[in-house]
Amino acid sequence: MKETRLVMGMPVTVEIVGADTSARDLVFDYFRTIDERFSTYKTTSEVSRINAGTHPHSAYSPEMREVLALAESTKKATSGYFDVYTPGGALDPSGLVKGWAVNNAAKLIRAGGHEHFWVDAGGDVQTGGTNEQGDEWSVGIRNPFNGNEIVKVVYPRGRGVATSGTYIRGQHIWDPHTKKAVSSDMVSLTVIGPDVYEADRFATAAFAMGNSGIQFIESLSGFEGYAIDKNAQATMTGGFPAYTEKSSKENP
Amino acid sequence: MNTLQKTFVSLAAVFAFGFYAFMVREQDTQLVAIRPSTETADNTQQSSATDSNPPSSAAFQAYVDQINAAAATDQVAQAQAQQQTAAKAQADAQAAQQQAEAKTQAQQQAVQLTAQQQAAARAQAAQQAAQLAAQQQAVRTAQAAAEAAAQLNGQYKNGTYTGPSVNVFYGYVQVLAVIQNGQLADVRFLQYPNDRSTSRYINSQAMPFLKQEAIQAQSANVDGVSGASATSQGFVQSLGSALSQART
Repeated sequence: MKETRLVMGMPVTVEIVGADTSARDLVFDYFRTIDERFSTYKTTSEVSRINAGTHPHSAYSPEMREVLALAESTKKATSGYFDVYTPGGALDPSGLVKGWAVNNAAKLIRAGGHEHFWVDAGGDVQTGGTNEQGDEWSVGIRNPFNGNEIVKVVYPRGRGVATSGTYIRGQHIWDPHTKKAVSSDMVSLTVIGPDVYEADRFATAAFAMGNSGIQFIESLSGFEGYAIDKNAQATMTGGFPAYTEKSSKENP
Repeated sequence: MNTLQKTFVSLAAVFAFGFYAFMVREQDTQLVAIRPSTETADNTQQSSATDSNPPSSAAFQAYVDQINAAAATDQVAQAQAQQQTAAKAQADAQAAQQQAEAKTQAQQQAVQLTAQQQAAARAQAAQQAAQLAAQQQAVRTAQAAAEAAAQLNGQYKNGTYTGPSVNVFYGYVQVLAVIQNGQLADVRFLQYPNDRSTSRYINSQAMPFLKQEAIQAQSANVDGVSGASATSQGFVQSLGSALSQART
């Protein structure tokens, strides 16, 4: 059974095949603790206290230290296009925490002995094994021009899927190098990566690169991408089509 | 006649006249010697004339001058012809260039016009679609939020409450909540990541291995969906904050 709850200001969906509800509750509890720590909206969160200047570096939690270290390495891996600091200088690790939290939730589920599962937060998806019917998990890519539609079906086969983007055309995005807005034709960028954490952070960075983001994804080994521009034209990486077909080994 | 031929003829003429002049002069001397008494006065004159400018030499000079004049005339004519040819070639080249420039300009204008028209049409269509989708999304989110708010049982104080401006990374969302009769009556957008005009139309320079296609709605059933939802999140945050103000 699949269950969706609103956590971290976004829908979080958990399905663990063949498990009782307590396993699912544990996963939702984990997301709540993450929200308490990393929310940029809750004034009591660790992030908010850091931004308020009331939380010294020596008091940082191990999770905060881990996220900041990951943010730093991601910034380097993306030539500075991934930055957890806003143009105003405030800490906002949301671009990394979501995928990281979903990935940790997947680890939690596996640690509990469950092989077949689905976890997603706000469209960042990590799957394991197969679904209740024994089929490969399928993920639809939402139509950025119509939220009720999907425009592509992918079968991630245990890999992570994340989408970065906006519903609005011609959005201005921040170039962390110049701290200025740059225009982009891209409205949606879906990335398939080794796991959801990797997919999420590189989707976020590549989206900030604007029109050349999809080329950046193509240049990374182990990553594929599907970008949709404001004219409803999609550009996909060379290896992407392989994920749009079910594997032939299914339903033996 | 070309220059070489003219030179040859001139030299031949010089040689022939030189020989002729020499012969005539010998005869004259002989004549003078034979008839010294009859032409003394004339001879003095003639002698002086012969010393400075012999008549034979004058004829030769006249011929050379004639030849030279003819050659000069010929050269002038040739030069003129060359000039004319060059001028004509230049004119032709200019005309061709002008024609080519005019053609290129016309082609460029045609291409630019077509591209502009196409881009404008596409942009307009996409803009309309995006605006419609955004409006639909906003309405759906507002309805969902209103329903969620209605389920909260909490009685709100009448008035208008402004939510914070929430950075959705690509812009800002800010709402105004209107409470009437203790209920959420209206939600207005004060800020919305609006459709600021993009001055540049950038063609994605797709690398050979990148593939392109027009997106198409799929009817397949899927286990879940991956998609962007930054704007609606910002909306929920801003509205949530506005409503919490209404409760206090």
